[in-house]
Amino acid sequence: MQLTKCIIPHTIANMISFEDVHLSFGKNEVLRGINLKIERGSKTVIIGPSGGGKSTLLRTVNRFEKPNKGRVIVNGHDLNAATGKQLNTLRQGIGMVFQSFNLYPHKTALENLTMAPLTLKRGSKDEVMSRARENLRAVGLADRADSYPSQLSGGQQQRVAIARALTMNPDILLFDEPTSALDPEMIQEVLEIMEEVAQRQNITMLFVTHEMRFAEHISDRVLFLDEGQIMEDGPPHQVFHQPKTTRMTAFLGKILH
Amino acid sequence: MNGPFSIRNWRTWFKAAPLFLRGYGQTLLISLWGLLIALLIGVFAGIALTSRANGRQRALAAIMRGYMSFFQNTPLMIQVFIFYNVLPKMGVRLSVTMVGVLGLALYTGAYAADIVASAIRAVPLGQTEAAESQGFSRAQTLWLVILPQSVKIALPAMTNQVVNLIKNSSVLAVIAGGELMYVADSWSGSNLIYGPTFVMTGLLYLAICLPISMIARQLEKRSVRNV
Ligand SMILES: Nc1ncnc2c1ncn2[C@@H]1O[C@H](COP(=O)(O)OP(=O)(O)OP(=O)(O)O)[C@@H](O)[C@H]1O
Ligand SMILES: [Mg+2]
Repeated sequence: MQLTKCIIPHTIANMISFEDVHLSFGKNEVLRGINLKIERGSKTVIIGPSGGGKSTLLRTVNRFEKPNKGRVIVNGHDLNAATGKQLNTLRQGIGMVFQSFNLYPHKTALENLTMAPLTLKRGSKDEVMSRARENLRAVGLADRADSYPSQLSGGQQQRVAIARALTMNPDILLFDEPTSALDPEMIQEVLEIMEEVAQRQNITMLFVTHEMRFAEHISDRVLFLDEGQIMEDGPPHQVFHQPKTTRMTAFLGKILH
Repeated sequence: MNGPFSIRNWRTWFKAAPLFLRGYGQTLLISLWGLLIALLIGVFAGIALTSRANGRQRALAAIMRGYMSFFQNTPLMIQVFIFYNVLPKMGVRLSVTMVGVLGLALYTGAYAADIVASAIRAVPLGQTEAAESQGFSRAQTLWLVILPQSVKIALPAMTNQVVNLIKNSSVLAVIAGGELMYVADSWSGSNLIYGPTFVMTGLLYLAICLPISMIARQLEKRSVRNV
């Protein structure tokens, strides 16, 4: 796949750049001018009240949502300019973990990991298979390789989904509230796996989460998104303990009580 | 004993039974081919109805909806009659069997399309998102992720359509289709033996349709359990 054509050289130092991103659904202006540079390998957490645009922002990174104005540049590629084929190739390197897992129910756990990389040729068959086994082991489910999603608990399904995203060898991983649909007793096991995954230095990660302790622990940067704007942007200890805006203080007050 | 169900009438019918079995064979053959083509039409039209990403796809969807509206809202008998009488005038020469297959296929395909389309729509949006987030193209997403799940959803309703198709094949009697109902109609008319003829003909339809209905019911139960 020819991707070089849409590369913008000066943006390459950052993995993701948002340049004045505006996005509306009808009259509802959801993103109101986002400017951000996300460094390679960084772990960024996005927090904020419901409806503030967190999911929408995350979904512009793999162009599930397209800005009305401004652009998102991923690994040097302007997503607005990408053709359908280029977009598919780019998406192979951008994993997404969903709130509702979205495993393929007609495939076993192992097949969920291998289907895309085998079909899309992200490595030889042997490489993909050993990578998949390794990732299943990493999420503690080596013994469930042949189970179907319906035979797994929610926590186990989300761990498989994380392993599925990893098996594509992504440059970027997007997590959209990965623990929000889980029963309370399963949240911890998934958070622990995500903590381990966050150790992988070569993957740039964006997390949308309401798990503040997890956020503070694993991130090197926290963004507070409210009404479509970045209200706070800094290292976790600063955003959580010395917030600059009253909105952030109010938000923290609400979620901690 | 006299009347329509007299011993003599039964005896005469059983002597003619091979004729009916040949007609039965013809019914099953036409049904099988009709079903295969109806399924192809149903899958194609069902996909067309659910993919409207660009202008060409929307146009195709509109054409399919037109096709379905016509074939769902006119009697099969009239469709078959038109094929039988109009196609030759347009220079298309088809055997009666082929006309029968085509008529049944187009009629059943119009219903199969609805079933396929709603089965595709029944697969959660998250499945498409998961597949596209991994870099699958639209076609790959449909083929590898959506359709395998749609098949399971569509199976009970589709099985019911098979039963309808077999019963509907009796309409081909109007064009001398040589299938079971035609044999029953013409034989009983010339021999004036109606009782045994229509009882046995009914039983022959029952013998193939009932097992298929039972399979459909079983599939329905299973899919309810899996939800
Ligand atoms: N596909 C869509 N069509 C129309 N409106 C949408 C769509 N997706 C999101 N919205 C609207 O955009 C706004 C922002 O939604 P978004 O999902 O980005 O918020 P969020 O910060 O992720 O909230 P939550 O914490 O509840 O997930 C909301 O008002 C929502 O109703
Ligand atoms: Mg959200």
